[in-house]
Amino acid sequence: MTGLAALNPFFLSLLPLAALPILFHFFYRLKRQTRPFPTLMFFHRLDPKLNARRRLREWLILLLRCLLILFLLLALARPVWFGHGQEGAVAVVMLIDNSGSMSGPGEGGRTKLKLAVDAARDILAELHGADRAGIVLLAPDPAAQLPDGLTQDKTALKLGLDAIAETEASGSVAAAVERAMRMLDAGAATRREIQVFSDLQQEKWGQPPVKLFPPPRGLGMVVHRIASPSSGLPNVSLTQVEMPSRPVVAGRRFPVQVRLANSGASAAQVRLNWLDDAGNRGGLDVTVAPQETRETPVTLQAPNPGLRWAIFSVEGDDFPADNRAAAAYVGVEQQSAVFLGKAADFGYLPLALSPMGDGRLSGVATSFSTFESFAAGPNPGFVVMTWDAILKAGAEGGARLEALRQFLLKGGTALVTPLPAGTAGTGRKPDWLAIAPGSLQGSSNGLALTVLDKAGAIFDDVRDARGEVALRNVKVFRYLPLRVESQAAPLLGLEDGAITLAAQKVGQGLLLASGLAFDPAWSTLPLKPAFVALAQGMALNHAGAQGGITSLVAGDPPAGLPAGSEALVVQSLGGSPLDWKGPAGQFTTFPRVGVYALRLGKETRWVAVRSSEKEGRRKFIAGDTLAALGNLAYSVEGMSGSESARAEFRREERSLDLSLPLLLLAFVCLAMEGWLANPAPLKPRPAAIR
Amino acid sequence: MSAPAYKFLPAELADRMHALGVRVRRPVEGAVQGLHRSPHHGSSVEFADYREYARGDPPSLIDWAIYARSDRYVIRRYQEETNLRAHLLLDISESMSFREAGLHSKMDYACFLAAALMLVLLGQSDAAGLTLFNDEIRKTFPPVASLDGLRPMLLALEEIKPSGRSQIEQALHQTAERIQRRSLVILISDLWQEPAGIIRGIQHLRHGKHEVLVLQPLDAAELNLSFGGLAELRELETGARLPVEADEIREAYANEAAKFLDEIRRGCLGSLAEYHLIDTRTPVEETLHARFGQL
Repeated sequence: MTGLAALNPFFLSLLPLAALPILFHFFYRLKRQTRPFPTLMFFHRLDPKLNARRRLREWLILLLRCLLILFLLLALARPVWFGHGQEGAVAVVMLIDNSGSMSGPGEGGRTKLKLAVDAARDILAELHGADRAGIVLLAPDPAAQLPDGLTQDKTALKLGLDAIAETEASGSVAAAVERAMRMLDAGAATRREIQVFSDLQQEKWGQPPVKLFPPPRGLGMVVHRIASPSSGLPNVSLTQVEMPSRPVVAGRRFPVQVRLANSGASAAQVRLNWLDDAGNRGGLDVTVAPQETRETPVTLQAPNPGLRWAIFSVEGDDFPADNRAAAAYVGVEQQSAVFLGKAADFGYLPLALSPMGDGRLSGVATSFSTFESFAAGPNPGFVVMTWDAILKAGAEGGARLEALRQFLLKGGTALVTPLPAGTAGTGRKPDWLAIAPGSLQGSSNGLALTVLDKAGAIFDDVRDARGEVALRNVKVFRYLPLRVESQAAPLLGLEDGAITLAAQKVGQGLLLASGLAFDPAWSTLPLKPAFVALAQGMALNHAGAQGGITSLVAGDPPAGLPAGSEALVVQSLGGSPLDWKGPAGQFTTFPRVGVYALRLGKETRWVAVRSSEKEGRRKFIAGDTLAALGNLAYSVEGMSGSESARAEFRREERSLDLSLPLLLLAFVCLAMEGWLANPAPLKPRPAAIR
Repeated sequence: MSAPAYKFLPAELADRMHALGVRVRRPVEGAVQGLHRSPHHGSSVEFADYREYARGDPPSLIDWAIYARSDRYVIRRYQEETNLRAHLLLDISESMSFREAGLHSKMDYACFLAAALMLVLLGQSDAAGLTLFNDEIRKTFPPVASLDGLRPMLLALEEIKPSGRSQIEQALHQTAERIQRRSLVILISDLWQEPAGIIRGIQHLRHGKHEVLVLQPLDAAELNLSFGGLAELRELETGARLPVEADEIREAYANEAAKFLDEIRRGCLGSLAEYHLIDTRTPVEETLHARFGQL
């Protein structure tokens, strides 16, 4: 790039002031009073062209005054003509695109990132004297130890370049340019440059910036385009791994949906591999049609309770940086469900929760007990009782109900159902219970069951592919309509508006109240396949959701981290290694796939990172307009090798400061103006020889 | 003299004019006997010269004493004294309206001069007429020898509004053509024209045997620029504008004005015309006493 740039562009905005003399001229011309005079004969005798000369001189003075202001303002703006003149001190930031797309092959078989780093090394070799340099990565990489800010330490810069490795992340061009500009803004130099090395992937460089940092004075930006040769092979991205939303019971197998997308023009035959934290491997061949997405079910098994994870990867396509995903989940111990009553009091529910009763198939072991035993003994995780028991306990005294309340307050889950035989019973509802059953209602033709809270977590296990609750065509013949106070929320209802299932949070626990007995005489719900999932979902609810685990795309900033100096420790549990310690506000992103633990004081969070599928899209900007750079001044140069970047830099580092010549011109104007505005008195004409 | 108060002939000015007199250096032709020599020789007591007798001359005019000594018939001639006919030519062009340093504008000053001179002339039994001109002759009053005849001219002076451009040479030529008898022609003008043309006009009058008196009232600011810095000047007669830097041109201007006046003076002298440069800062009476009081 060659051209002019102003180091103090503010003064350029004052350039219209150069027209002030013209304004003053016309203003005073209007105000100038004329003097009546008897004759102008003598003036014409002195110089017949006196008026013409006078006017010419006036316009010349006016022009010189305008030029004087113009040159002064231009000189103050400190214009620099780059690409000409002598070498000056250069402050250069090498902005290296280390996003996933740069992992692809470049010319000569090396990755584009390697080519970029080599070109940056060559530019580093060109620095001399007072020159300073810094390195900014498009996708921040906490694993790469880069020099802090601009430095003259070439060794540190070389080590920084050596530390740059391929990522699977996407990045923000505007944010990276802002980091580079802030770095340049902090130092003084004649020439400030940002040397960008990128493949100019459309996904990143074609997006207009949301906000762009104002450029520092005298900034020049050169974007070195690294060519992306086409291999013709299809590219398959691993776009999502859908894990169960609830904790997985240890020892049970569970399904996982892996979504693959083929962005190529031909069908792709790839192999999907996975490896879990216990070292179990798996794999299957998958064919993905061109421009299609395919859901691939995979079955995993949690070996033990605790945080578990698995790394999925695609093998056999052309581009590796969008092929991996880490998935994490929580494994829990086998759960127990206690029914306070006889098996016949609960219809099909015991069978749905555990067909064998020992938890081998469902992970939930069922047992039957009494309210008294429940109140006296250690509490299970999930307890089922009847309205009859609740109301009787209310009538007989508060001890058992208080035991139930304490159970709920501690995080337990309780389900209350009617007796299949009929009524809810008689007695007194405890005051803290915001749900109460009404009298038995019936409908010989059956009323349709409707979902009142479609987003409720209790239905997560019975959703179809579109996310809708799969409880259709359920007919209800008998029911106890529930009266629900404001502290509780209705979940299921009937077409006539009656509520048949409601939930009330009590402390950390959850009380589910049903107006339906889970018996075919009451409704067709127990006959539906979704009933089993619904019942098990309710039983496992108390184990909590997959709390503390966040899924991220590589390059996305982790949410919820404090911006201050609170100490943060990041450790990789699986996948790409990363060990980082420092103030939480300085942590940037996870650039690669893996499962990471974030320890913030006593709190621990987990992050599962998958690669950015955007990096696999093979659209690169061929022209010289980069929307991501907005209105910044830049030039795009094709990089045929690192030598071309070096030559361009060598040419660019020359600069000619034009402020001194402009200042001299201003002085020349001033001198000429003074000479013209103060002419020597007119000499009298010599007397005629008589 | 009990006369009504005229603007340009106030009583105090008129009273002070009695001591003044206007004389001419060459003979003039008059109808009545007066102070001035007539070109006609007759039987007056003042001897003039001799000439040869010619047929038709009265024999009584032959100087017999000469005949006795030289045997020649000569006739003795006597100078006849006559009254003066004066024509005042007053420039009423717009440049005459200028006033900056003077007591009056040039026009008013010229009117005072004209009125006073006419009174003086009438007081010595001469006749005075008035002609007003700018680019052409605007008004003419034939010479009169009575105070009653002076009145319309004094009133005409009061009605003057300077305007137009002056054509002095043309006015002088027309006057020379118009006046038949030898007279005194008094030109009162700022003379802001090329001197050559003015001198040609004066010479035309002199060719007609007229006596010419030139009075040039000027404001001091016309000869030395009284202002400083940049100013735009507007010429009174033409309206032409000229921005000038006074400090830059002052000296050259004064020099040029002096040269012009010298040119006029030399031209008048060469034409045997009497020339007076008058500063309008000087009171009219003083000017008249200085110019005509000693006569």
